[in-house]
Amino acid sequence: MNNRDGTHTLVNVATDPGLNKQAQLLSARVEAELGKPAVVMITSACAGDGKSLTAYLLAASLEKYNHRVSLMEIPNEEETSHEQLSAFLEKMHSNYDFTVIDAATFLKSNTVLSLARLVDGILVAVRIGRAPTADDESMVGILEEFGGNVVGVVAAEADTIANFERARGEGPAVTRLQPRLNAEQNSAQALMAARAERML
Amino acid sequence: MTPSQQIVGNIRNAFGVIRRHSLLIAAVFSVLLAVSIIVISKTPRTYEATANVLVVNGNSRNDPTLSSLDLPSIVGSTVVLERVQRKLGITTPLLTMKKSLVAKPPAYRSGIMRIQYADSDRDRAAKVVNGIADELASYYTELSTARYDDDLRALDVEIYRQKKRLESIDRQLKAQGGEDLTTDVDQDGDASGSQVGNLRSQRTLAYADLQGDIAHAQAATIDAQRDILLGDPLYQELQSSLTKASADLADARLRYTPQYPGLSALQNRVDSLKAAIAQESAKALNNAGSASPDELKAQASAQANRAKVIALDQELAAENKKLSVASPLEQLRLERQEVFHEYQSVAARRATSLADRADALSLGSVEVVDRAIPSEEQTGMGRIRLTLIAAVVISIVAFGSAFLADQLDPSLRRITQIEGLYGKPLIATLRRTSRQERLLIGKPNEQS
Repeated sequence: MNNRDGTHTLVNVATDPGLNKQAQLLSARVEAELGKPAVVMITSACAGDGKSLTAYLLAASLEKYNHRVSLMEIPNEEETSHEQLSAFLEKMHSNYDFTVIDAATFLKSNTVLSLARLVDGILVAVRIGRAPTADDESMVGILEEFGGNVVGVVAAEADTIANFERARGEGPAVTRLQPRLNAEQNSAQALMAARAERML
Repeated sequence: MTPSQQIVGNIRNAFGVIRRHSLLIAAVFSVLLAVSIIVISKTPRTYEATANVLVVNGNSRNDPTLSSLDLPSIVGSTVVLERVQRKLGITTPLLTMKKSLVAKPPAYRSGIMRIQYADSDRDRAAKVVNGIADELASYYTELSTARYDDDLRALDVEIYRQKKRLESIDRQLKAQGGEDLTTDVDQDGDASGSQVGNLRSQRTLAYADLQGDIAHAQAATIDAQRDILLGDPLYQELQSSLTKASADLADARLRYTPQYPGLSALQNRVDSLKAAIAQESAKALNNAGSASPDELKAQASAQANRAKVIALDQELAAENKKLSVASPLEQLRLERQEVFHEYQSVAARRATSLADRADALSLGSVEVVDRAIPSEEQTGMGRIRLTLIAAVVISIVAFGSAFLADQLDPSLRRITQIEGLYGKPLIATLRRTSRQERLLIGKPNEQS
């Protein structure tokens, strides 16, 4: 579905009633815990745990309740300096009610740890049915040591994740839900978008 | 979460487990069911036959079982079972027969004992249990009368022998022209016995009396001599001196070595005292004069019995001499009398044994009152029922194995697992709606 502002929305996941319900619960919980404006980071211990799915659903649900929502993705291999991140997030705070960051896998990117103390809340995504690892056990503790506020865990079924990844792979554009921005915001956003587009 | 939601959640989880491990459930069920069917089909059918015996107890007490033997033990004894094996010509091992046999003692106030036997062949089961019942009846009687039967057999042999001897003597008497002596062994004859026998008995008694009198006389003499010596003061004094000297000598021997000079003096003194005592006792006894009344009485009795023995010896000699010169006819008569006496005593013993045997039989017997009939009914459960029960049990095992496998599966599936791992609450579970749920909420055509 093409939004008015030119963004593209994946319809197949968001119209599933079960997922919708869970997404509503998720967004309500995040809103209740963090209030607005808030920056939420989604991370996980392993790849394929449903970070993107969680981020997308959370953003879509928040946007449905007429919040100003920004969804962005940080690829694993990209490293950004702390100052850049801090400045960027300050701007997102002031321009959006909720900023949802689809971050990299924990411990594969220093950006995650850097963002930990800068964001308002962290959600941990985990795929149902995989075996636990040592990173799972240590992740929350390390994030909290770095000043992160881990709100909770979001579990996703493997086939739901796979379906989302398949559908995303078909889509030409980055999944992004955001209203029009001013020029300054646009430049910061352009930085992130460029990185995302390079990934796609 | 409300309790009902919890229950619904648990049920949903359980179905999830079953769905995830459906292959395991199917495999376990199939394998175990196949094994069960094979085992059940290979298990031989068992038929049970029952016979009842009545324990007839001659005891007048109300409870017939109180005085009966341990019948179940006898039923299962190797003696009875071996006889049954021989009689019926069966090759079933004794141990197998014992295991297949059940015999319970009669209930209180009942005389009926039930014997059950299980076998894979229904006809053989009935044949064996009937054989055991019959054998029990005869063995019980045998046990009651065994000791009397042995005696009776021996006595019958002896009676037959005596009868033959009598017949032989009668034939000889008839041939020698003697009176017609009947050989009817039941007729009473002259019971006086031979004169020689009587004399011998009398002589034995008289000789015993003589021995008794001699011993009595000796004892009386010893008593009299003791009395005499006790009344002699010099003898008593010498005796006490001897006692003291002997004590001194013993004491000196303990204290001193044999080279001590005083020892020989003490020894000499003891020896001289002994000699003096002997001299004094002989003197006292010589001076005593005549024997005491007891001695005289004992000696007189001994004399009389001695004379009696001598007289009897003379009479015996005369009778033996008479016999040796008696006519053959007379000898035959005497011999017949002797044999007839022996025959009578054996017959009396046989009558006593018969009476004892009858008494033993009156204590009770075992009678077979209900014989087994071959039956088509099998013991235990039928194969179909067994298979169904096995299927139910195996189903439980199969489902149980699925839940066990799920428990042992470390992968993250349960809320408690996830929350325990991260230490944070599970906020949402992202799961696509199932087809059934879509139908339920009226959205059947959504593409996933």
